Amino acid sequence: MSTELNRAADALFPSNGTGRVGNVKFFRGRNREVTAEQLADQLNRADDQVRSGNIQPVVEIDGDLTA
Amino acid sequence: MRYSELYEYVQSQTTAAVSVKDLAAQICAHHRSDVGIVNFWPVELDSNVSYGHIKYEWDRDSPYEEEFRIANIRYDKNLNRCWRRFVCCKELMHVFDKPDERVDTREKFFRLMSELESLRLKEDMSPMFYSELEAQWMAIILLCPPRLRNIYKPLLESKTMTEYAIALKLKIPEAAIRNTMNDYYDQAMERLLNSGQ
Repeated sequence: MSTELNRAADALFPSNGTGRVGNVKFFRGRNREVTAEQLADQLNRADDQVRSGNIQPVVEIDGDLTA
Repeated sequence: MRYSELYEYVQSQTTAAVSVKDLAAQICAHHRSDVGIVNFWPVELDSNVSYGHIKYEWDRDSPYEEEFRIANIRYDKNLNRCWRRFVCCKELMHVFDKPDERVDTREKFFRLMSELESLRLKEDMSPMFYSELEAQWMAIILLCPPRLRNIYKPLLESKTMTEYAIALKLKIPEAAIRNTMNDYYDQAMERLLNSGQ
């Protein structure tokens, strides 16, 4: 079974050269001792959520800045 | 568009807080060859592991058009407004990554992931990992540019305002205020504005 890291790498940079990703970067969370596997898992989960079609991009990312 | 130009734009405004939506719009308007669209996706993430991430993906409007990048920024949907803005702004700063800073191959991805889970000495940091540090400072300087810092720093030093109160005004995390008001801010700003990014 592929690790989450390998799954993420396969999705981002497929071996058949059809990948369309130009950059990937992370903002680490509260725990400074995360593993690459845990970070990759978060990326994979986010991909699944976006692909599900159940969420939409947020336009007003700032909310009401006058409030 | 260079980072210094975005900085000049933010410095020229008179708003009480800097809009991340506006920063994204400026980048798309003036940096189109690199970023055509910015999407902010609210997703379920484990904030103990990661507050968010960015994926740049090539796309095109039609087979006859030039390709452009879509910056897909995913953030933990449970973040409060201040953290959401800071995380999204930091990830947005990766539009200015130089070619050697971009994770655009499988090997570079594995290298960055290895560095994110272990301490490295300065000499062994890859440009990709270093850009993670740069992007945080780039975000701090844009969300609290000198025109706003010059208002709040004296108030903090005279104890007229607390870090928390300033964070509420700027709508950024309280955790970011210490860096914002630290003397190193000026050095970081000079370095970033002169980096040519």
